[in-house]
Amino acid sequence: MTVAAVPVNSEPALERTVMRSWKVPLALGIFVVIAAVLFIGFGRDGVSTFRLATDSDAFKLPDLVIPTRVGCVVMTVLLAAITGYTVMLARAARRVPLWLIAVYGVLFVVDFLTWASAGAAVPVPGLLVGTLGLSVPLIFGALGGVIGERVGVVNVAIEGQLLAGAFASAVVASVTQNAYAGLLGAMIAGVLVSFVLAAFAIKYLVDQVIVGVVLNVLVTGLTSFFFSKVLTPNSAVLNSPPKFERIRIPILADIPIVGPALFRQTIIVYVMYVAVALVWFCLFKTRWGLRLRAVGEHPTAADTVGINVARTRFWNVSLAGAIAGFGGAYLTLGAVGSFNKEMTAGAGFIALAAVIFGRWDPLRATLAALLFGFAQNLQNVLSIIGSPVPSEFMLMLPYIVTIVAVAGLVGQVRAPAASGKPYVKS
Amino acid sequence: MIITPRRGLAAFASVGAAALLLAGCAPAPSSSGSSTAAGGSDSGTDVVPCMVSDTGGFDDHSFNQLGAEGLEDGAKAIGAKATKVQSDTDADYAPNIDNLLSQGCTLIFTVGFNLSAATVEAAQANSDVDFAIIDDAADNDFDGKTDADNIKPILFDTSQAAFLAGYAAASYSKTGIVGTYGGMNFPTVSIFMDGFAQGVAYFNTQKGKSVQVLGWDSAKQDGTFIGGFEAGTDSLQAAQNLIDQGADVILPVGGPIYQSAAQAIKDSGKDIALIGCDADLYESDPKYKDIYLTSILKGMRVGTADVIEQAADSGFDTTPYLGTLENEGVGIAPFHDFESKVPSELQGELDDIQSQIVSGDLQVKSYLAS
Amino acid sequence: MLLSIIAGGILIAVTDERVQAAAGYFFSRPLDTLNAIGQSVGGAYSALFQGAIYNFRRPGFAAGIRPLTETLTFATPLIAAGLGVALAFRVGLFNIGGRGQMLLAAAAAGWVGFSLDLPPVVHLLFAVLVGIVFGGLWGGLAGLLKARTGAHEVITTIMLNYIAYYLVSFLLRTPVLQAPGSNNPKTPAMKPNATYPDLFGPGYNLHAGFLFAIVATIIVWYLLNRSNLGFQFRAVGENPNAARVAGINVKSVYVWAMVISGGLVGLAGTAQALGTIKTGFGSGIDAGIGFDAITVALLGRSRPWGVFAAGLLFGAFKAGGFSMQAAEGVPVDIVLVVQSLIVLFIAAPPLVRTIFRLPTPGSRAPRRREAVAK
Repeated sequence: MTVAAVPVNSEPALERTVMRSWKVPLALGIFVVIAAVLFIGFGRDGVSTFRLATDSDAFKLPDLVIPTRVGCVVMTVLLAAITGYTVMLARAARRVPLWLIAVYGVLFVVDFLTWASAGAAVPVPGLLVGTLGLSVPLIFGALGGVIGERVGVVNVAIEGQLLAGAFASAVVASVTQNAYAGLLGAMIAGVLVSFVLAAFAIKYLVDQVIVGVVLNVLVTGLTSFFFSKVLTPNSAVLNSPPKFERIRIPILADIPIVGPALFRQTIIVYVMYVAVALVWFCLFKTRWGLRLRAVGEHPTAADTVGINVARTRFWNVSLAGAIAGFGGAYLTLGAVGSFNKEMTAGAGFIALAAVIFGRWDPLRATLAALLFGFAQNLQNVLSIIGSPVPSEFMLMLPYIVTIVAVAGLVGQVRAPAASGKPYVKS
Repeated sequence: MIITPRRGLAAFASVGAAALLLAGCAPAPSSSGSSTAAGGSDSGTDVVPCMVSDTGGFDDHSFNQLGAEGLEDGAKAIGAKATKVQSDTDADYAPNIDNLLSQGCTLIFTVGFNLSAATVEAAQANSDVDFAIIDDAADNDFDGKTDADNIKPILFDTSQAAFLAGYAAASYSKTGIVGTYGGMNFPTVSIFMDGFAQGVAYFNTQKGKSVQVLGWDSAKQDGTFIGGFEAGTDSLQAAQNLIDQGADVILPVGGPIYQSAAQAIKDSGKDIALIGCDADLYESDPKYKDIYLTSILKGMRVGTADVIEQAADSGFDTTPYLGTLENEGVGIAPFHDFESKVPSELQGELDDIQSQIVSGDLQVKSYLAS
Repeated sequence: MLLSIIAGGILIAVTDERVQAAAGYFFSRPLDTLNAIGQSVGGAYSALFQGAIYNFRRPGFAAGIRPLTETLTFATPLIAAGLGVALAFRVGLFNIGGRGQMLLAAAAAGWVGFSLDLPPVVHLLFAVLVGIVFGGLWGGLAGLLKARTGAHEVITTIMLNYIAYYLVSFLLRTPVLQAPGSNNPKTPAMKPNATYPDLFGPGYNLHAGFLFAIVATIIVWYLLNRSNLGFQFRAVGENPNAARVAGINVKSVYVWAMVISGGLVGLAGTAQALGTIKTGFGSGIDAGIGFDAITVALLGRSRPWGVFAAGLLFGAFKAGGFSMQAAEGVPVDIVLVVQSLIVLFIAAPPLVRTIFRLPTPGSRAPRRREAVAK
């Protein structure tokens, strides 16, 4: 019994040989039943309005108005049809294409929105802007998590790195009155947290999860302490960072519906687009990525071919910390405008879930984070419009959506084989 | 490699060290005072005021912080040294009170309903020590009386003040939509939102208008909550969504979460006003002062300090205190920069409403109003 | 250990107001600063000791030993929850969902505790049982999802934490859990029959939940090391593929491991709701123990008696932390920091050896053979 603390279960690929999988049709079927009961059984009258344009759009799309009851029936029938098709596919032992599931998902959400917003208006661009806004720290955190685990170090300290990044960016940017310096400070703070993680986990073989959990407590304690003792009394000097302005990208920002969400953002978000693509590309298409993954999958083999396992791990975990720290800067320089005690509010743990949900793949992890952000924002919009469900159940929504998505659609995942295991050269 | 972890720690520590160095090389004080244990017995009073926070901590921009400021004010006024301890979890309340008792505190403030049971228990076991609890009636058997006769409950019926703010918001709003959201659906939070909504409704009946309140449903006693009290992206987004729905006055309730709302307002570039809670934000956080319509005041700072001073001057008095408009325990802040933007007749109307509430002609419903 | 005490001491000194005041004129009177540092650091650690083990300032042994009983009180839920997390670790599962399991267990046990009228002993046992069952169900849900759909338990347990929190928050607003006549989201006090009896009378907070924790430790030890089920658990934890080939039903092992793990965490929930806080609770009843339990489990190397010892150590930190804060004004955040540093150094025997240039035992031994450094 060595490292018990490994969130890894390398299950065999045996199940892939079972061609006929009923999981997807079953999951979709359950949702059809939910839709039928809720949206038709408890159907609501009136019209549902989807506002597709923002005030500042160059050319405005008209509002989309759907009669609630009829719309719900039509969409639920469509959902049932898709489910029927997946049943056919499953019988023929063929895979259900991913795009079909995506279409189904979008349709279900629209169906739900139509039902929930009877007599009210849903601002669609606002919904998307908010989705991205809530997802940014999660995406950065998840990218850091992906790199860490791919190189074989479980990073439970994402929360700590985000928080340290948020803290450092606020202080540095306030003192220098330069938001870019704040970004740099955030990255350095993230790297420092990573250094501790890396040093203890790689050099001193402390269980990686212990270090991660403890680091979260450590960073929370330190930032809260400095916040109340140093930042709050001197908030004008130390906690009033300049904020990044939103940059509007011409033409692209005028794309209806998605334009405002994607292309009227701060520089941090644009960096995020690049970072996601870059991490994906480097991880899977470059020598650096190959070595990194080799160390995470089979350190002994990597060692025999001359890769320095400890050094590879150390520097990549540091890089992961820089990325996560950068995400922390979004909280202060991109969103709220000042540091606050425990302002990450568990985002690091959601990011950790997104890493696994996304199967240790930067693109998929990003999508997972976006899904979570969407559900989170959706519940907020609905509770403002006036939802028939108690507020606590609305707040549960993103978490339930995640579980359903993981259980119904993602299922079995396989972590990098050596993730969480210290490597002792023998 | 060996120095790496230490380098990391050193970097953390150096932040603090830098703060120390910034303080520089001030001259030494002429005589080093006798600041040893808690309490300054040399000052003539033997009252040792102490405080236990709830899990929000003393920098929550809300009742813990205001209570702590009141504690410091009161202690300074009577020349005593105050001790305050922060609770990190719900299991900390009783041990924290215990430890204050063993430190020789004679007047212990506890903050919030969560400490109610622990306070009652400690008060019953230590009849020689005085207790005061903020935002709770210390009545856990619900017989209408305080459970121990050495506890003073300090309560604030903020719905009365929120009513005024709601009326003012409705009167100010140009879009006819005002919004509110809270941290969690706790009575101390929802009392603001409910009073606010009642004030808007009153405006509508008086003026025959139909100003809409988003984020709170008086009938269901439920509304929009962000699930916590952190000024992060969740709060920002809640405010953003209210703005998207056309609200032009926003009341965020729950400690620091107003900061995110202020940022969302600035980001929107629109002419949207914010209503503060607990203290007059125009003075306590002037960073965003140009968007504060008004603030709903909860006189905890003064209330706490008064209890201490009174205990030192004329002895501790356990009569429950309920802050209302009448005794000025609650109220609304001046409009400051919005003076010229609100309708000119508004202040007069608010004064009228205030006197009607004080006289009892106008009832504001809340869980504290009997 | 020594090193962490020094590191913690530096932090305490830096953050102490008296030291800050004295450091302001460090260059004109350096001795003042050193004096103040000595006072604050020494005071803080003596407060830690006096708050956790024995208080010399109180007269008589009975009062002096009270802090030790406080330590045991705080250790009780930590041990129970730590055992739960450790058991899951041994099966290769990471149960990060202690918070949700505790909340649900506390809510269920609490409901039994305040709303039913049962004879003494029976009432307590029934309430504890219900708490364990609900904790087990909530944990088992994650196990079931993993076994049936392959959903990773780290995701599901994190999500179930939030779901449980909002669920309990909601129930605390409805008559199910809310005290009648109250407006606050809190339950009524537990009926006396349903609470863990005090072990040393009313002057001490230590309650019989500690005995349950000891029993749980023994049961888990037996289960893991002596029983057939425990063998299957460990086999799956070592290598699920080999276990499957050997004819072990891996899926049902996952489910049962999470059920038992959740049940143990549930026991911690009952210790909170029926023992430490008998007077009614709110949605913060878990007190962060679900996360502390992870560290406790790992510090104890996921072995039952190791977890027991680690739980005691953590309990001492908790109990001592209060008096550090009350007596010396060390902010609670710094107490947390010092605790986490100590944990880090305890968990890193190779680091300690490096610094003190101790010989490596059994040169390059695999980690499993290293002794637990204390």
